[in-house]
Amino acid sequence: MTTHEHVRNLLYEYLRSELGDQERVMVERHLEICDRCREACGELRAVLDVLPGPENAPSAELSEEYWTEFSRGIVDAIPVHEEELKRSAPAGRGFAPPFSALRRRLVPVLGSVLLLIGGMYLAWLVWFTPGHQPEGMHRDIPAAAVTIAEDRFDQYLRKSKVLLVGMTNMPATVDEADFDPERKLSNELIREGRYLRRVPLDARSAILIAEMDKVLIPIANARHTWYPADVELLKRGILRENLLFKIRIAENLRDSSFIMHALNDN
Amino acid sequence: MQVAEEQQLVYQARRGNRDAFRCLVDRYMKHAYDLAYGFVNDHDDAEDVAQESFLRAWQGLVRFRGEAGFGTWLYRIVTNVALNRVKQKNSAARRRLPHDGTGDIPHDPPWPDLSRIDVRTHVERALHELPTLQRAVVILRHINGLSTKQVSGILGCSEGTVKTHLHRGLVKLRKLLGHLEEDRL
Repeated sequence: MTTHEHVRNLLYEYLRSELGDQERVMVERHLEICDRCREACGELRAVLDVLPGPENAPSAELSEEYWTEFSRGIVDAIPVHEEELKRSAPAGRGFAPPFSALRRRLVPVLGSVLLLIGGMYLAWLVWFTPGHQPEGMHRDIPAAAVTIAEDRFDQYLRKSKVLLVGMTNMPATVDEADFDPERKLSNELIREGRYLRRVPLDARSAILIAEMDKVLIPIANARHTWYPADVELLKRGILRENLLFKIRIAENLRDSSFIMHALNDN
Repeated sequence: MQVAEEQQLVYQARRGNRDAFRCLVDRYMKHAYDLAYGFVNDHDDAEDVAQESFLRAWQGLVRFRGEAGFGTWLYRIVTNVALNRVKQKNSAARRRLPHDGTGDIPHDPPWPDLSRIDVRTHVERALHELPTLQRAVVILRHINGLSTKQVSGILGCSEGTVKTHLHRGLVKLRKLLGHLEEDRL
């Protein structure tokens, strides 16, 4: 900003005697030497002579009775329920402990803490689910719950074997086949597998359940009838995953452990 | 009224004390009216603007943080309400503009003969010619006598900007009111 612009911005305060001594002297010295700014000052003085100021306020033309009614009208226009709402509202910053301000800070903090706790819980669930848990490591589960889970896993293995054997033995010459029983059993096994994942027995069992899902899910989502090509594709999947063999291994391992427990008890 | 006393009134009003709010209304109603009048140049409109502004202030008290003074905050509301009212009136006036047979819209009538209208009306018309920000600054700073600091708080701009716009607005008013000055001389 040039000196001229700076002085012109001060002319209003100068003409109204609102400048401090230092600025006033600066403006006067500049006006003595600058014709253009001196002319601008004269122009400004002329318009200020015409413009009304606070002393010519329109409100002064109205009676005191008018203003009394004005004030009363404002207050009467305030709805009563708003008044009651305000009584329960926070006082606000600067006058009383602002609960609303505290709440504005607490909510995000509490939310973050809850998110952190939730995340840790989820991480714990994921880490200690059967897919990730180191072999042989068990969660701290009550003995009764472990027994129930083992029984259910045994049933899971038996039913899976029945399903897989039936699928692999299905004749290739069939034109159309009704897969409703297989679809229903697959849905049942998928749901059972999800339960067993929440009650992990061992890592190997969890891996087996995940591999079973690869075959069970397509069967569960199958159409009402399949065609020979679909059956052939499913058979290849079962063989590729070597699922029947793995089921037999799992059953043998469980039989061995049962026998060992029985021997120890005796 | 001391600052601390006003703060207590605001505090009480925030809690729903109508009497406290009435005290604030009594203190600021004339200023609010004068400020509104500077924009709308009409008693009825100024009254409406002032009333609406106070009701908005009452509703907005819960959000008033006290960083600026109550007066500055109230004047900001009045300025916004008044400018909205002016915009509505201008829009309505444009829709009512008559058309002549050729479809041309006549331009604004020339400045009237000063012998038939008073100076105040002339000044009001000149103010109306200013850009919105310049008009707001002139009305707040000069006609209502608020300080540069208050005006900057109301309009949300720097004090330097207020001074610049004030200077430009007054220069333009000088041009618009030039023949008025000559007539008086």
